[in-house]
Formats: sequence, C-alpha cells, structure tokens
Amino acid sequence: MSESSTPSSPLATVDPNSLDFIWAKDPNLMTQQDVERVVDKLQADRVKFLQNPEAVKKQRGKKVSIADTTISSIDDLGL
Amino acid sequence: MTVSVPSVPAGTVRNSSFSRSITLLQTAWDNTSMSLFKECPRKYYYVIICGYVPRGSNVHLAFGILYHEALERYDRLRARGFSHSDAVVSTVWQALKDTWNKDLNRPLDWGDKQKNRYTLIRTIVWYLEQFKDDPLETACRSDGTPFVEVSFRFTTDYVAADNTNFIICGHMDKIGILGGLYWILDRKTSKNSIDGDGFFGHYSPHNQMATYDYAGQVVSKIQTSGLIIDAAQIMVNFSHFRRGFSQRTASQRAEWYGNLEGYFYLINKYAHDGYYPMNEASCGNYGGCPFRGVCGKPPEDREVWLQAAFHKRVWDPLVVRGDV
Repeated sequence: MSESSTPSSPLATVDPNSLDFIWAKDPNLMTQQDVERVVDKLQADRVKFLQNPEAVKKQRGKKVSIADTTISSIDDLGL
Repeated sequence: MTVSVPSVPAGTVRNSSFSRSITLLQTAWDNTSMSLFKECPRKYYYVIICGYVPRGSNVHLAFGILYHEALERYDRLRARGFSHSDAVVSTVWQALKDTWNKDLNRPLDWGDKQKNRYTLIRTIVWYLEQFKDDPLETACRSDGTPFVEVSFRFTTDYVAADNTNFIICGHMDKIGILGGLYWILDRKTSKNSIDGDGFFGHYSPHNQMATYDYAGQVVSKIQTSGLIIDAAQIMVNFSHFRRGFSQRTASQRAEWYGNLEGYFYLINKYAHDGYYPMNEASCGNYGGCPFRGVCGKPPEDREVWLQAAFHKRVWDPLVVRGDV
C-alpha cells in the first residue's frame, strides 16, 4: 500500500476545540470549561426544540461524531 | 405423573432476602420480586431464586440506573446549597465519567439509537432545565439530609412458612413537598409515547406505585399524599417530559394490602412444594419473555439452555441504597 492511500487518523482532522472532540475526550481529562460547553450546547438544543419541536422531530439521519468515528476505527481493528 | 421439580441450582449465591430455614422461601419482597411473581411464578423462579438474567447488557436497565443516579446527585447537591448551574455541571461531568469505558478508553456504547451516551446526557440536561424552578421541593430531614433514594421496609401481618413475617421493601427516588403536602416522586424513562390522557392511568392499579404509596403511609413519620411521576420519552433527536399524579384512597390501599394475603399464601405453598408453575398467558407480554425459548423446551433440556443463554447475578431487595 502506498503512503498516499493510508487513511489518516480521524482524530487528526478534528479541531481539538470542537464539541465532537470534547465528547470523545476522556472525561477525567476534561476541564470545567469543557463540561460547561457540553451543557450550554445541550441547553441551546433544548431551546431550539421548544421553539420548533416538529422540525426537530422530523430530522433524519445522524451526524457522525468523532466519538462514533473513533469507535468505528477501533471496531474495524477487530479488538 | 411426575413433573420436573425446580430446586435451587448448585452455585447459587446466598441471598439475605430468603429464609434461613426454607431454601426457596423469599421473606423480604420488593416490587421487582413481587411483580415477577404476579406475572409468572416460573419467571420469578428463574430470575430471583436462580438469579438468571440474559447475557449481554440491558440498555434500558443501564440507562435507567445512570439517569436516576445523575438526578439523585443533582438533588443532593442542591440540598447542600449548590446553585442550579453548578449542580448541573457537576452532575453532567459525573455522568460523562460514568459512561466512559476506561478499559477501552472510549465512551460506553450500548448499540442503541435512542438510549445511548449522548441521549442520556441530553435527557439529564433537558430534565434539569425543565424543572429548574420546580415547585416540588425536595423534603429534608431535621439534620438537613434530603429524602432522595429513600430505602424503606416494613413488616406485614402475613406469616411466612418459617414463622417470620413477610417484609415489604424498596427504594423511592425522592420525597418532595408541593402545595404543603408530601409526595413520592418516581422517574420513568421510555422510548414509547408518554402523551395521551391514558398514560398516567397505567399507574393505577400498579404494583410498584401501590407499594410506594402504602409505604408512604406506614414507614415514615411524614405521611405522603400520593405519587408524582416524571416521565421522560427518549427519542433520537429529542427528549420530552410529562409530570403526572397518582393517588389512592384508603380503601384502595387496603385492597392492595389485602390482595397480598393471597400472593403470600401461594409464595409459601410454592416454596414448600418446590414447584413454580408457568403462566403461559404472560409469555408474550412486554415484547416477549426472555425465558420463552427455555420454557418452550422439554423440562429435561432447560438447564442446558439456561446456562447457554443466561448468566447469574443476585437480586437482593434488602441491600440498602439510601437511608432506611
């Protein structure tokens, strides 16, 4: 296999300040700020839901998070 | 005709809720045990006496435990004087830790679209936002400790075959004060709809709620007025909550308590006979009994099937979680 065809680590392409990165982070290494960002985002999602519940209910598909990508990568290794 | 008589399989761990002199006789009963017995004595025998549970994780059980633990943590922090926002952050942080697989260094994955780590944390945050200014205040003891995860037990008038009295026990999520009255709060999670006028009607008659309601009258110095049920519907994209009330009259309480006599008679009889009959009418309930495949086999083959598809754990209702 040539070097150019080697898939890069999914972690390498993710912004370490993004919420996806925080979700996939070991919570024992999280800062209070990390947790507050998670809470703030979920609270904002709730407001969005309350403002237009039907639109949220109709959402289809699932955004692939870095957490899922990491899990898939590990699963692919057959561990 | 001879029948296969169940006995306690070798290797079954000692359970303190059982009689010391009659091996199969459970003398301390919680809702889990009693509901199983009422549903099907054979299922009760497999789950409580033998301790068989299906192999693999039970996502509903795991999700429910983590959800309850998180909200209990929040209630305790608030009772200690922490602000709402500080208590939410602490609760979420702990829930994130509790759903982290340290061995694999990744989040726990139950393989379920509706009940997973993300929806758990979301449901906790959304619930705490919805009830941020909850008029139902957590009741506290004189020393300031809150009535959360309240373990209870009381001795009934019904005599077990070992000449002790049967005990009823359990754990309440919380006791709160609303409108100057004490209420028992129970939190439920579901993938199914919690809307519709009939949803809270399902909780009367209901063995768990009747047990809590009765205990609320006889166990504590404070008398409770009934139950408040906080139901959470967990969907892929949202979590949705409803609060309902469930109250019983004195005559309803007496009826539930009186019904126990007939069940305790059967409990004594089955323990004496060493035989727990099947209730075939309940095999299809709740999406199908996990033991249906076992009960469908000839009696002489069932042990092999049980050992292949199930593992063992002890369900001991007398293990205290909070304060008795």
